[in-house]
Amino acid sequence: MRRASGLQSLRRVGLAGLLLVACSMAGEARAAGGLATDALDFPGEPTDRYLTPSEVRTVLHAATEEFYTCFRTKLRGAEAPGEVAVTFVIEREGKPTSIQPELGRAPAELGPCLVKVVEGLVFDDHDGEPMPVSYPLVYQVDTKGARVLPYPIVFTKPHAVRLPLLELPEDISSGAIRLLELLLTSDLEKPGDVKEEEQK
Amino acid sequence: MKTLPASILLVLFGLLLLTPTSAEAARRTLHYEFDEDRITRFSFEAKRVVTTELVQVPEEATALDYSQLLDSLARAESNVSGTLERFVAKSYRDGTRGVVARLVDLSGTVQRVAEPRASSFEGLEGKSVAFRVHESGEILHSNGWPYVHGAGRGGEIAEDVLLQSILRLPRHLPKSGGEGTSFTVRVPVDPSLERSTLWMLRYRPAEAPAECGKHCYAIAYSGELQETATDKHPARPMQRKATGTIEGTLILEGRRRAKRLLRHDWSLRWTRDITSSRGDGRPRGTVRQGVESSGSLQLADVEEGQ
Repeated sequence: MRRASGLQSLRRVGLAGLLLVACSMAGEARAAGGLATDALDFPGEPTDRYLTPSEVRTVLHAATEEFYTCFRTKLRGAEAPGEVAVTFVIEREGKPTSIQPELGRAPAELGPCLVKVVEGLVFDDHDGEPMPVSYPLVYQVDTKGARVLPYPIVFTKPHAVRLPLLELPEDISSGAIRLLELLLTSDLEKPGDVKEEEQK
Repeated sequence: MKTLPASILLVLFGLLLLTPTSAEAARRTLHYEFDEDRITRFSFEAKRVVTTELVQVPEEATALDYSQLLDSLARAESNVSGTLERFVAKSYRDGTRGVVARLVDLSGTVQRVAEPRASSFEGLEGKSVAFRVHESGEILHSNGWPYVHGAGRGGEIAEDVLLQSILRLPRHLPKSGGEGTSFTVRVPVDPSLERSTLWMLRYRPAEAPAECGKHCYAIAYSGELQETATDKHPARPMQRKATGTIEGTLILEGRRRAKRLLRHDWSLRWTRDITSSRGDGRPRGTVRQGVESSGSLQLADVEEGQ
């Protein structure tokens, strides 16, 4: 009888211990930062006020089937289209404007179809500058059939932060900033310039 | 061996579940009131005078004609006014808020060697920064600074206005002896650079404007600032060390613990040394900047519905 009571006590203490561990783990998880969606810049969260190339790419990838429909219907019997791309600008309201198709060897009829697909895309509104985007459309025909491959990269204008530790007046010219860069960091690569930003 | 009764165990577990945040909230008697589902607008004015001198000239400078540039930067004065609009975008489970603060309708002047020139500060117009904040004004995270900072944007004047809109409050309305506190504010300028500033403030009671009403409180503060920042970007290897002083007055209104910010005036001075380094870590050039800044934020309106 006494032995049974001792076992019961041990079980209770064990249970209490387990609960204690579980509680402390829950506390630690909360302290560690919580859900991924808690990040201020998590895509689509109301605190995420700036577009990133990966967010743009997600919207473009979702339209892959519509791009393919354009190729399927407008390319019938034509030769391989070569390098095709769409360029556009995402305005602050999230609306794509200045949509231009680059058609390579593809027939001209493909252009308006691609423009229509891009016109229908909805990006998040954002507080950054209007964002110029170029997106290659790779049409592939092989033994698996014809398809448009979701391109892993969107090309956007880089957002360079130049000399952020120096406080410089708002009206300083780009040439003056470059001279300061030469003076202070010249043997090194110029930040965020020349090359187009590529983000996977 | 005697076991504890289940009720006592439950109470103990309950105590374990209490987070430090809620304990902190229980002790504190002064919070900001953040308007939910509304846009709160503050009108603001800010002035900034920055002096710049090259104190250590890099060897490479001999090949460059930079004297005219340095002359033009010797003293730069910026004046900007506009509106800061703010809304609560998200409420987190721990009671903190995701607050978006945006600068709009900016205008002002920039004066260097010549007469002041009008500027629309277009690099800052419409730009926002998101903060995850406690109601005390403690900033846990912030995001959006890369779009505010960088040469030619006037971002530091914007940073002052944005940060001062949620300056950390004392735990309680200060009594005559005052209350001191210190805290760190981190500004992630971009993935390669996070600036960290230690604020050491002392709050004391001040006189609220007579027209403000019965539930209006004024808190004056003054203190020191220390900043260290190392830019890890391979193309901008620079370090900034700075010390400063700040003083200001907050006017708050409200019957309960949560109080609405009505007005905030501040002025601060910085002395900064910015040193660039070579690939092997040796210093290259040092620029010294002095900053005198002042500003004010005033509640303009609260728009129902977002």
